[in-house]
Amino acid sequence: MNVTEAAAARGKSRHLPGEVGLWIFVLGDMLIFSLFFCVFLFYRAHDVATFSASQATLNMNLGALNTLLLLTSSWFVVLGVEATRRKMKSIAEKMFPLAFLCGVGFGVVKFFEYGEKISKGVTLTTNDFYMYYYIFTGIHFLHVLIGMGVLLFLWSKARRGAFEAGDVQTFESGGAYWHMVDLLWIVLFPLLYLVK
Amino acid sequence: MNMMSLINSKVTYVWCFLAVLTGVSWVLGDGYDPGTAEGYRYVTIALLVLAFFKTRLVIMYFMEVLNAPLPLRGIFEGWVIVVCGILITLYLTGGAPFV
Repeated sequence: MNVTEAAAARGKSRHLPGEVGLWIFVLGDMLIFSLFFCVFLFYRAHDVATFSASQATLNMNLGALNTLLLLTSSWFVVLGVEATRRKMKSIAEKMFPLAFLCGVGFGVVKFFEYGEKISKGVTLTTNDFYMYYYIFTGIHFLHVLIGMGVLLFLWSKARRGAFEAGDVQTFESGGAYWHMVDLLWIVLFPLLYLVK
Repeated sequence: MNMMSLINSKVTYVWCFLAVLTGVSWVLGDGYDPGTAEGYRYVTIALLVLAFFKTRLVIMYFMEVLNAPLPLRGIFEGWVIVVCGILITLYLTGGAPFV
């Protein structure tokens, strides 16, 4: 049972992790991606044959591998944030680089995935499916890159042992952003790769 | 306090569960052949429900919204149900699955 669970169990207080502004940003971003998800299925419904044939060319194993990489990185971040609350510097300064490495892994997989498609002449303009595939996964990948920058920042804070209340809030905010990146991929993966 | 006390927590079990659910989606979406177009529709609906169940686990346990102020938790609970519902509806308006 961690600190917040313990507080909730006692029924004394509810805790908002991170800053209010961060949650507004996260909700806004999730709303935009929700529209992406809807747009994809709306246009898929108009041309199921093309979408299904194009989807069959995607490598599901790589999509699933990337899901596992982001889930694992999220777990490292949860442990890292909890370590900062407990002022466990030696652990906190290991967790954020481990999460960052998972992000690197995600990028490497994406590099090979895009490379394989582009080498076969499949681009943004091939058809509607690939247009959405490149745009949505591209915008998501941009979020991953920003998140990796955030993880490096949190790593530097952890190495300095900056674990006061205000610092912990920064760790929580950065963590919440990274988890959002994870959960958006959790929906993108079945939508693009698995929906029949 | 050591590393084990940190790892031996609910979030680690949630992470394991999420990994297992990803494996289930993988098998269901890639290897499993229900045989009929109708069967594939059910598989797809199951995949979408599974995905949003996973997002809820991430939101509640990783982002710690479970113990966040109730209005914020309500917004996220609503997001999971509403977006999942809209996507299933949009999916069902499409033609028969091409398998």
